[in-house]
Amino acid sequence: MRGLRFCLLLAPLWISPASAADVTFSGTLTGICTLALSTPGTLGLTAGGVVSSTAGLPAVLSILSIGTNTLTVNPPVWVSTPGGYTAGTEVAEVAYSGLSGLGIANQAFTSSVTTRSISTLPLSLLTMNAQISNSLGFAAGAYQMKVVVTCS
Amino acid sequence: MQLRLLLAALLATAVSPVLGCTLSLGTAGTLALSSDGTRLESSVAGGVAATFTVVNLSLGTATVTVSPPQLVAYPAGFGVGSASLAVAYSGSGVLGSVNQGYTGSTTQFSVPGLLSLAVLMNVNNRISNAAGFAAGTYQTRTVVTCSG
Repeated sequence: MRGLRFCLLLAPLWISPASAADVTFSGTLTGICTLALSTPGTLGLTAGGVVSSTAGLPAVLSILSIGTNTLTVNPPVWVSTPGGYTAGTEVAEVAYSGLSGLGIANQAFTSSVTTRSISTLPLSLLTMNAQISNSLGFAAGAYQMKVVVTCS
Repeated sequence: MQLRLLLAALLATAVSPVLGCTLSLGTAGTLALSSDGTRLESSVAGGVAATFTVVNLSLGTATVTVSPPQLVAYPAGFGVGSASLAVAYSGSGVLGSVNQGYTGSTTQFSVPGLLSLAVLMNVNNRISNAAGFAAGTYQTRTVVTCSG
């Protein structure tokens, strides 16, 4: 009987009530669009006498979009040309295509400003080619052009 | 003798609810977007882990069960069907530590009695979606239970 009493007294100490807790997490995302240059392009001279990244390497741009945004791509402009370069009739063109889930239509070479509406995208890549032709040809030296891309 | 036994029984009965396994919430977690935009997670830059404390004052070993997270709130434009959720946690007490990497399954760990008075746990939640995340507020909930 003494042993039984001992067990009865001890029992409440062994019976642990269950406890539960809800651990919550929250986060708010606002609409954004970020652009970053992953890889700058390189230029070369094509067989047709055009300074173009198709004769070098395309540039790669990374884009992350939350919500609906508008991507605007401008044709290239010169950043620097060698001293002996004379501008005649120039045609500046840009082309781009989406990679890694960037679901925008490909754009062939154009000299116009183009826009694309993009919705929510994880980090995606856009390859871009740029070229400028010149009726007076090209002098020897280093050329640099830029393409302005905006996302808003 | 009978009186002493009765008093001891009353004392034990009164104390026993306290001498169990209890969970105390510390801070709620904060989710932040991963750099590639495919994860909303508390363990990336800008995120904050949630904390809770396990106290087991019973004589026996308690079992803490951590359920996979649930998506409690999300904006209308979010493709919830392609999302997956996971929970991770870590903590340390007197008798050792526990460390669970991200998992979508229910997991458990043991908390020894009495000697592990308090185990401070850090909990992380993660929402993964290859298609990215729409603007808006997201909320997840992980249910943790402790039983002796």
